[in-house]
Amino acid sequence: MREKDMKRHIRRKAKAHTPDVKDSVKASPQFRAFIERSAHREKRRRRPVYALAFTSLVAVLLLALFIIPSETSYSQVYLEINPSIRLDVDEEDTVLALKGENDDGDAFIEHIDDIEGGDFDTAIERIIENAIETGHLSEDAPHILYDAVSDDEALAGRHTQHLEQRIPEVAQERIPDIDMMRGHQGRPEADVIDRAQDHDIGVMRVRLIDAILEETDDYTFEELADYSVGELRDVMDAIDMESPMPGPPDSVPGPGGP
Amino acid sequence: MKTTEVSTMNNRRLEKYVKAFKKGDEDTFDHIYEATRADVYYTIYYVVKDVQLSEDLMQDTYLKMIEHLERYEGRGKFRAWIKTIAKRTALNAIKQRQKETPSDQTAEYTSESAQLEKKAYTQELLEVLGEEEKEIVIRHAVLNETHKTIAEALDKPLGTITWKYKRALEKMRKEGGEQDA
Repeated sequence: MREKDMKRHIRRKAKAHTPDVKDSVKASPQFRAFIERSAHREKRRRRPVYALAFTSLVAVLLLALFIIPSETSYSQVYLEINPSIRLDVDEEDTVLALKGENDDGDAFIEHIDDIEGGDFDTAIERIIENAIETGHLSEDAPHILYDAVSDDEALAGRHTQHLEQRIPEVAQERIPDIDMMRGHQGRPEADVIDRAQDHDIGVMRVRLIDAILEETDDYTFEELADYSVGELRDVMDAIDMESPMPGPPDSVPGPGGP
Repeated sequence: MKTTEVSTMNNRRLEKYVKAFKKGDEDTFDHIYEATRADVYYTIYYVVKDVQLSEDLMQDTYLKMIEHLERYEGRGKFRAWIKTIAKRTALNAIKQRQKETPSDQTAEYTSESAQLEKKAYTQELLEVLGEEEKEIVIRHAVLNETHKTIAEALDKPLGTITWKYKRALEKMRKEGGEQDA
């Protein structure tokens, strides 16, 4: 049994031996008073919010009709190195936002300042360098899932190519055999996002797990959700599965891939 | 899926439930409780080492959490926040007990009742482990304490804790099939 499975086993056992005080807490006068007070306060708080929301909506519609000439395109760039992160990048290649897609992602980006407002190229460089520094990427763990999605397909394609070219360049010195797998095939559906949140993993990892489960019944989603990208790669090797999406031309080929 | 909900609920989802609970959504308390009950209980238990008192203090902890929730600002640290309340509640209870109970009675309690409780507890939970191994394993796997923190709390060298933790996992691995059954 792996350590992760052991820990899960321990937590399950430990929880099973925890006394249950939920009902007595919920029956307490403090609990009832809190619920009533909170619900009352929320009701009062909402009234002005509705009015403000309506006014704002009208203002936005007017702006959209008369002032804003055209919509600005941007793509959402996803990177999964076990921390899962997302960058919003516009057509000028300026990074509009950097976000963690899971708790590890939040922790990871805490150490990367001044990305927002900077250029995409520098952002990739700093993220990959930081991933190497923190050990999330290494020669033993050279796996990365990536993709860019946008309503503007040309923009998403350009940003995807940029990732495919720049990541190996940045990593080359310390990780010459970086293993890049493209992860998305379009915007993640609501159910993919829900499962990603439930299991604290990135949406690309959910998609990859789904693809693996289409090939084999030997695992469950819950089991694979605990696997790193590298471990998922091992599973793909074991079942002789090709990458669901082709990676960059000069990447390490996937199992059975080109 | 239901069985792993508690241990795998991530901080983001927990914060969402806390936010909804602050707004008076009563049902979300169930999720918050299920996600934190093991953290709360074992934080208290490893301070007071008394099963019955831990149960009482667990209830007190949740009531204090409700009382102070207005001041909780929600920065993804709810689990750490409620564990702090639990620990403070447990330490206060120990102080209170020391004030109220003459020292000879406390000693008597520790040597008899608490030992009996510990024994029952050991028999039920993670049966193959010794008392100290079990504490190390639960502190690390359930409460997410580092080996260094555990070493300080138990006043043992870090290497001893790391070694005992590994040995405990080995023991459990050997018994794994039977325990899961």
